Amino acid sequence: MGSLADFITAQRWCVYCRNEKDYIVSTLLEFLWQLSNTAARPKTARKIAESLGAETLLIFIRDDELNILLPAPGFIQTIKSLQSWQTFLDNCIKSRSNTGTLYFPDEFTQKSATAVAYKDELVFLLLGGQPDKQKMQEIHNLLPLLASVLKNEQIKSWTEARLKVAEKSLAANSDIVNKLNAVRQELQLAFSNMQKETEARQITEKALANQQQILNDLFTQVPAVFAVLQGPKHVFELANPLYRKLVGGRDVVGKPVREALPELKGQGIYKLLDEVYKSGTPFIGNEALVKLDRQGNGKTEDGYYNFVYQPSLNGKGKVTGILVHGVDVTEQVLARKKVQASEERLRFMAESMPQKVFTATPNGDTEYLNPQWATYTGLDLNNISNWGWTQFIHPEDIDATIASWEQSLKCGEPFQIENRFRRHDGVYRHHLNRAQALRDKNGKILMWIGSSTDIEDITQTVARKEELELIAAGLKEQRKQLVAINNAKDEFIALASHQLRTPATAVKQYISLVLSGYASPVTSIQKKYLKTAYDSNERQLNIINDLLKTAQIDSNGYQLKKNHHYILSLIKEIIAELQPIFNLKSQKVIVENKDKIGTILIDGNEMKLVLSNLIENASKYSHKGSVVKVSLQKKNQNLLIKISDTGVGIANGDTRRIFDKFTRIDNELSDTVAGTGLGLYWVKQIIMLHGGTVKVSSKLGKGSSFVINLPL
Amino acid sequence: MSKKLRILIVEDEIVLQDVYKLVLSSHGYEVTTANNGAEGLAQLKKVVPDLVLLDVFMPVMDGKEFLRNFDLNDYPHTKIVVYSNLSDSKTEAEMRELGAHDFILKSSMTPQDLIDLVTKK
Repeated sequence: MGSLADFITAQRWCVYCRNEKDYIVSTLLEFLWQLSNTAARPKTARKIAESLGAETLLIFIRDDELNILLPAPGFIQTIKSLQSWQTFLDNCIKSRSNTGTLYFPDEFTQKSATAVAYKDELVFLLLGGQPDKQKMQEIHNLLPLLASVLKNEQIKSWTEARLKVAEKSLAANSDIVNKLNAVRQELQLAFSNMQKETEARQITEKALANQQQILNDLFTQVPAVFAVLQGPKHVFELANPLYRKLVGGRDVVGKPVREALPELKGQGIYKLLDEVYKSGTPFIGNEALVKLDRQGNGKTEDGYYNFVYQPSLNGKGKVTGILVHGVDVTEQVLARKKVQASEERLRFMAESMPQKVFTATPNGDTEYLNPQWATYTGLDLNNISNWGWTQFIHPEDIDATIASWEQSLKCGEPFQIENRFRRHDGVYRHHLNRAQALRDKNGKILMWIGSSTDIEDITQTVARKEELELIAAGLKEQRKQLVAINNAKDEFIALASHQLRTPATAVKQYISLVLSGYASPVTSIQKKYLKTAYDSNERQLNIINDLLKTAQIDSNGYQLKKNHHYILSLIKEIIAELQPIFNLKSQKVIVENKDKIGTILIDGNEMKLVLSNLIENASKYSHKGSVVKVSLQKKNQNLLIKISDTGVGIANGDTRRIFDKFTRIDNELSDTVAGTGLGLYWVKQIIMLHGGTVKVSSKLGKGSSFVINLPL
Repeated sequence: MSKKLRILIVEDEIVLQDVYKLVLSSHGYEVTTANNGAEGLAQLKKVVPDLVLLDVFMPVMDGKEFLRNFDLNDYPHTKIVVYSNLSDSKTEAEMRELGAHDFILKSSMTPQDLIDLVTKK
């Protein structure tokens, strides 16, 4: 900053004080100068003026030569009751060449006034105080004369003006009158001067008191820390209340800084002050961390301060002290640090999540992209302004994406769209893009926050699911067709069984009828032939039955009718029915039930056929006089039914295929046994339907053993 | 019971109808015949039988349909024996469900079986 004079020159305005005491003027000027806010200057000046007796202060505009003074319109306006003169003064300035300025303090106004001649008229600016009516009348009477004087001559004082007028009057009137007037005027002048002197003293005293008050007010009320240090030891000369509060109310005035604030040791402050004092260069601290004992209890607290160490110079430019001025910004700094921390947290979150995250300005310009974008696109996205996000979108999706985004920007509604983004390897992957406007409390959009989530895998899963659904639908249709085919097959089996059996049944019935003698008595030879025909027919019916049963089992259309049956009774019933066969071969059947098995849940008819088949086989494939053994045994909640014989047995390789369909094993007795090769097949199927198993163990020539395992 | 037992044979196969009628008549039963279920129902209105021998698979109206139209409450003393060459268990269950008292495989039945069956009733 330059000198005061430079400043005033540069500002083109100055303050003129009626008191004519230079030290007051300069002090006031210094205050005004220090006010940094230009707009506040007139207001502050007015306040100072008022406190000094407002009417005595005027502010003038200077010209470039600094010698023509005109009232500054902006300031005049602020002085009370002068509002209506504004237009006039404006005109004054506009026509400066026609203007003469005259100061006439003293007897008319008790305070001061300025006379301004404007064109042919003389106008008074009475700055405060009520003018004496009589004196005003006198001036009024002199107006035409004054005007002419002012117009032609530069007159510096009211007295001078009146003398000039008097001169002109004397010239116009008698010498006596002139002399009288002159005497009278001189008397008046003397009186006026006397009065003026008294008044000036009073004003000076008042101004001094006011100035002191203002200084005090400024010093104590300024919302900043303020202190004055004197001398090389930096002795506190002044410390405003805020400063005292800052140091925990300690009394620092009169003490050197090292003694007053010992906690500053080691913080570099003392050295800083020494440096400023030595060099005369101000130091500006910005958000400097200072540890101060703010409670006065010996414990320091961290605080952040903006401060100025301004060296104060004496008239010779030598440093005499340091002006300390500072503001406590701890709260702001901490608040900002907090915001920074939370921003850091958010950034960390954005950078650690798998989604691609972005923020954009209210008009849609990208502000931030998390690193996932760079990873995905494979591009260096350090320069994100105008990064051209549309270049990554699949050409087919660009239009819809931009339209949707622009619509959201226009209306502020959430943005959501699915599209394909190109990965670094050129592969387009489906993404779900979302963005939402972040608004302030008034609803104004501050920014857009959005994410793009790779949903390719999900999309593919969905596609796969759709494919599977399609297959399932196909399978369902296929199943429907199979069910239809199966129903048709069942119908065919039913029909076939009916149609095949019916004629055979008729044969059977009629032969029976004849054999039973319904027609007429038959001879023994006729009986023999008819019996052969009957047996043959029976065999045919059995084959039909076996075939049908197999067909039914194979079509899964076979349903068991389970009931509780005494298994031992069932076996005895079978043996009784087969007794003629055993008798024929003189065979014996032994039944064992050591575990006293009781009832079992089975399909009685089917199980009877199964057991009957196995027991009959045991008889069929055994020699005369042999023993067939049926034993019941309980084992681990299962029933074992073992049918064993000492017959021809089965070759090792044949046991495996014995339960297959249409299998007939050749052995020494097979020629004598009739069969379709289906019996053991459906034995196994029926046992399986019961949830059981059937196994065979055999030794050729020694006999066979069939074991049925049924759950109890 | 001194009264002659009345039997209704509902059977589309004439050769079988004849043989059953012959066997049963010769044993002194009063036999009427019907060629299908519809005829059988018509017969019921003329003479109330003590026993109905009912085939399953018949044209016009089959045995199932006959049973559906036959109300046991109207004929409390009439027994129904279904005999058929349809040997699957599903059919049997269905017929029993519809009110049949017994189910016999036609092809395994001899004339003697028939007499035994009727005598039992």
